[in-house]
Amino acid sequence: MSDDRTVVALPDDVAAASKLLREGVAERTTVRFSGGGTKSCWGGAVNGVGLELSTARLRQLIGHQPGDMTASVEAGMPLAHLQTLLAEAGQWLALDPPTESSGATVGGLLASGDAGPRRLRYGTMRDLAIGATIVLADGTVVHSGSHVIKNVAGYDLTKLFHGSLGSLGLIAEVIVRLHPRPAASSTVVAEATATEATTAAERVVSSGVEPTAVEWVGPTGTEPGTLLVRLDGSRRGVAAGSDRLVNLLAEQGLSPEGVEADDADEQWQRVTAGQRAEAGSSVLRAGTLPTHLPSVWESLTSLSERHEVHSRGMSSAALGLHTVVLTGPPSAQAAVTTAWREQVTRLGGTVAVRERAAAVDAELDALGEPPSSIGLLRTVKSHLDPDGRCAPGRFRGWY
Amino acid sequence: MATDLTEATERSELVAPGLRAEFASLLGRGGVVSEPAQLRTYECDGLTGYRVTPALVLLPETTEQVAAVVTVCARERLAFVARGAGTGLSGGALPVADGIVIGLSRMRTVVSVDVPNRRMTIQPGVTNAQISAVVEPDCLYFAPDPSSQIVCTVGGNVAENSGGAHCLKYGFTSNHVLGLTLVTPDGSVVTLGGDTTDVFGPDLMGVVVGSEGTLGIVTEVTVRLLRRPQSVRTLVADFPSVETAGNAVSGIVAAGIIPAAVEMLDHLAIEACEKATGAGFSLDTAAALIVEMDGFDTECEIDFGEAHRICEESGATSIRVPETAAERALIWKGRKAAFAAMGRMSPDYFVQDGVIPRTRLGEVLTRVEAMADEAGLRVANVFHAGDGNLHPLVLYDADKAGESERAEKLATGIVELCMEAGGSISGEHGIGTDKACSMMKMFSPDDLAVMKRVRDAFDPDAICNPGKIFPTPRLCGELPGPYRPHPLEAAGVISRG
Amino acid sequence: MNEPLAPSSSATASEPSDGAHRPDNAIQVHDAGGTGLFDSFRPPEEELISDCVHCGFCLPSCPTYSLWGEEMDSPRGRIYLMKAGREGAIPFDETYAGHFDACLGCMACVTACPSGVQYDQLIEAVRPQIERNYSRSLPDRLFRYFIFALFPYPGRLRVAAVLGTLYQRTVRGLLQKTGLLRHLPARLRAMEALMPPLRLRDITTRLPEHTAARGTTRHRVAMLTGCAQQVFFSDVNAATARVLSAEGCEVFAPADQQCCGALSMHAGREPEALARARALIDSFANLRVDSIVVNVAGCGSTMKEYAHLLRGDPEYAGQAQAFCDKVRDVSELLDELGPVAKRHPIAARIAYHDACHLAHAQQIRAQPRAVMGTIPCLEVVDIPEWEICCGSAGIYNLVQPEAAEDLGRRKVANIASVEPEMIATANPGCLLQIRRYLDPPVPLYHPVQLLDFSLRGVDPRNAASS
Repeated sequence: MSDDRTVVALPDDVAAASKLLREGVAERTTVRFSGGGTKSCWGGAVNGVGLELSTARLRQLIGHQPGDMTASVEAGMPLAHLQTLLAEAGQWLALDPPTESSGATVGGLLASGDAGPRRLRYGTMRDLAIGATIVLADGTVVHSGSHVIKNVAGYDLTKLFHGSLGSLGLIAEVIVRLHPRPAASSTVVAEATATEATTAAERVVSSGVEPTAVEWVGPTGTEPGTLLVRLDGSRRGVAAGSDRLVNLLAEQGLSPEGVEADDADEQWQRVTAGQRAEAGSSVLRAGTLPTHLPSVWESLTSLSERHEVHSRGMSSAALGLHTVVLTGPPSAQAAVTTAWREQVTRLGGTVAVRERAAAVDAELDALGEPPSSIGLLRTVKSHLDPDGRCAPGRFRGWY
Repeated sequence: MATDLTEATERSELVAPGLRAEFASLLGRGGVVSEPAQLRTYECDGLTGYRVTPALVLLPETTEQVAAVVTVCARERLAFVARGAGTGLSGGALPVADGIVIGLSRMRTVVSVDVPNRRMTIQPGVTNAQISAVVEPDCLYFAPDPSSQIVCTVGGNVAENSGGAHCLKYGFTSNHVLGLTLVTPDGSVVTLGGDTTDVFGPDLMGVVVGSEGTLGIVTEVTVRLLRRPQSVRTLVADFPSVETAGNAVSGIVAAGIIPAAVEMLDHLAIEACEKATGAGFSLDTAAALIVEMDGFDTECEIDFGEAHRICEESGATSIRVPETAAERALIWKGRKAAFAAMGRMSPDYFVQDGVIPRTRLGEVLTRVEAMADEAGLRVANVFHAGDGNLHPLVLYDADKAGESERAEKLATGIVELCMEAGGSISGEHGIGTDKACSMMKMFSPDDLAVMKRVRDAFDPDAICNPGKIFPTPRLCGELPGPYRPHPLEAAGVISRG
Repeated sequence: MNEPLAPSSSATASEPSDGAHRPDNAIQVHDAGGTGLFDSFRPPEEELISDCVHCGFCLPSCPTYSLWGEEMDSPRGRIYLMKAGREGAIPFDETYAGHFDACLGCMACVTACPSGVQYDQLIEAVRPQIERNYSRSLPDRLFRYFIFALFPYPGRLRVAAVLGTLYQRTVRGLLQKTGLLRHLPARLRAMEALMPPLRLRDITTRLPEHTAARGTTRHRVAMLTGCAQQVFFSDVNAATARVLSAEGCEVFAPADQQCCGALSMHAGREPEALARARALIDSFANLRVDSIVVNVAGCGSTMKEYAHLLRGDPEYAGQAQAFCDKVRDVSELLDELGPVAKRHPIAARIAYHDACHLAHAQQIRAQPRAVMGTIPCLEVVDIPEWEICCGSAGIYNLVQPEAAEDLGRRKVANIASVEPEMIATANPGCLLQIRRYLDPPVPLYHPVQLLDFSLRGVDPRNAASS
């Protein structure tokens, strides 16, 4: 996405990043921060900036304290690589975002808030990042949080940068809390309609078995919808839990089965792959109350039919998060998106557009209507980045 | 900041009495507290070392009323401080001299309960324990469990990002708040978060939680509820020394177990808890660990067995496993009464709230013991061992010459030790008035300046709980300690009537 | 603390004189320190005040804080007011006195306090200070005078009860129909509504002075017959005597005994209370008994405090201690003695309401449950917010009718939530207060009455309601 006049810089350390930003103060050089590039299309497009500051060379593991279950890393550290390093101590950063295999970085995951199915148990970087080093547009280096998991000293700037998509400054280093790698994992799979999946998710979460993920893959063509429930823990624990789940889902009238580990991995990879867009398609992300899952899907299906757009997707059923891929003529995609957003918003939810073709982008805002806190967002932005240099256009329509 | 506070004070002194009628028209006469005797009762929170009498106390009942009075405060540039149950231990609800206290104790309505989606919306004056009580029949509960949970309010929990014994596994208030209604310091009402867990844009809610009432007044909170764990297993293990107990904690963590809670009490703390509640702790042991596992029954049993084994191997002299829920509840009641019960052990004490990386537990505790011996004072330890959050209680008698100064010095020394060990000056009590000066030791001027920029974005006139969190030269020219006059009092700007 | 004593008293143990508002001249305890608003006669002690660490654990148990959410109407706030009072920084005015008058004296905060603050002693030190040093409005003074000229006197109370019963049977219906009842001042309306329906026969029933034990005599007891208790609840007294006798107690109930002074004590009328304490000690002095039994929570808690109240009176201090050592709530004694008589089943679900002066002031919670637990088939259930007062609190529901009504309704809602067939409570004040707000009505009993039914093999539902 780099334009000809954009200078790409790859600082080696925080001081270098700070210097680069400070040097741009006089010229008010606009800047875009980049990591693994897996989510550069999230939010509004940031084009024509003077500087692209890449974290590609900020990829060191600064420290790992296995006994304290914390680690500090430079922001450009790819998650996949970090997991390999942590695995030696039997630990992991409890995140499984779909972009992990395509190079998502730790800093990018904090900036975007992206996470995978297991956020049901472990949360997102909002819950896992306990500190950060941030560089503001004027080069000020700020430390927030610390190496301990429990800390209420000062404002939690790490959380402020969660979801900021590079619009407030550069995330240069991140301190994360770690979890023990589960010894075993099991997955129970069952065919289920949207309504059945919603009921099942509620029952599973209320059952006392503590699942790490409950995902529902929506039906496509002749393929019915599928519910996947994942357990992580000890070998004996997940075996017992999976038996319990099979019974529970069977009581509901579903036909569940426990899946062997290898098959399960394949199933989960399909879930991940299903969220990627093909060329020309759009990826929408909606958030609602979990119980709104059936109505969200019902309206999507009928809108897709009406506008002759092909739609597929999946929901984190216990969380009320829905990822949808639309394929079809750009104007039809835009029409479905606009109408669906309206309906989801009426239910109290939100819809953001992630990947989309330029023709779709022209017809709608990626983020939709700004929230009631927009006034605060604008003043926070103007206090941290008074010249508006960081990622101009990222929150197009908001600030 | 210092100038801000002084200005706010001077303005308030002139303006507040004249506004009494206007506030009364917004809240009704019963909503405005103005008699000197009554105002005295609001002069401090759970930290009695700092006391300032406010000019007025307002007791609104709705978001609209809070917005209306804040709008007046903003118009007059009048300083205000929000207050819940007044149980805070860092002076976060310390009034501003001649400013307004906005008490939220009448805002205790449960707005809505959504069992299928496991969430509840409440007003800020609802107590932490009440949330769980409301949904008990539905097998749900609110995970953060500060020791003062029977009295502290959810508004205060949000302001302080409260933790508690069980946040090791379940996280803090911040991890359990889904949405907030916030009256900003200019009197407008905004909502943060909401129905969806996917929030776009900078996470303002994440900053507001734990901002100690300096960014606005939260008037509604939507919390996430968890299903009550299927199984709960608890043990109380006695150890011959604090260090062996510390090793057991490290052993449990190293085994890859995430207990629901791991609490440690030393001999003095045990004695106080036992006197207050008769919870059945052994009085002849040097240290005791409360270890609790919860969750899916099979997993819980496995982990519990493992933890039991680790305690034995680490040298536990006896291990008690409560048989009934009532017995377990009594153990927790004993633990949670620890601070307050310390009044039985010593006429005066400081509570500290430092955090250290948990691998350094044994080392730091040994050092604390040595420091206490050196100072000739007793230090009781009761703390969340699982996450390294220490609560050393420095016991002293203010009537004995020189003792409070020694205690002050020791308390400060302990917190600095925590920072040197790579930890934090506060794990859950907040910075408030008490630790504002220590902020300079933990954060660089740049770090603080950027936090200040965030504050300015929310509260450009610095009228919303001024004088908290951020160190001020006036305040920090002195040593932290027990009661001493507010700097403004010392400067002759204010006086107590 | 040093307690310099003035020469001993001549205060006779008969009717207290009307100059009751001066400090009891038998006891002079001076506080050497600056006492601010308070006079030096037993002000709230600095040492007890400083025990409070301001943690706030008392707030949720405090009835007035639950109602109003105001710091100055919480135990912590009131202690703060005492402190401010000692410092003398504030005026002794209606506001100041009002926050202490608003305290029900339920002592739930004492149970809740982890630091062991003796709020009971603090508030009982403040109330007499108010009576002495604060001038109430004339209507308030008259109303209080009226209460204390009536309730502690069973003779006068009987006359009032007869008149009241006649009123209930005649004029009340008319007043209700015409809506005139609603126009009565709140305090009179409260008094009117609390008056229980009575049979004239019950009003005049008196307990025999001596009841022999059935079977072997295990224990000899003297029984307090109470003032309101013997007029309005003579059936509870009768049941108490029957149960004690059945359980092997020889029961003495001296006819010349008078009010124990609890009402006066809780209202700060200290000299009057002390005179009554001495008189009661005297009337039981010649009885050789093992225990002194009380079936009224409020009376029992004050009688257990006699030694403390008379600690500075050389003539009575010793006797008072001996007296206190013998005082037992009836459930406490029955639990200590253990059951011997045969119980018959009562198949019912009963909600037990803890009277504050039993549960908090005397820390008696297990014993009444244990006693009722000896009745086969009786299911005893607890009430949500058990620790919060019902609003009765001595004369509280007469002098603070609005707050008392809010608390009464709240208590009744909590009781209704457990859907009981009957309610048991060991204090007549609670019983009247709860009955006033119950809708639909649920039968109310003293626990000892249930035991009496069980011993006699009578189903309470078939017996005449209390």
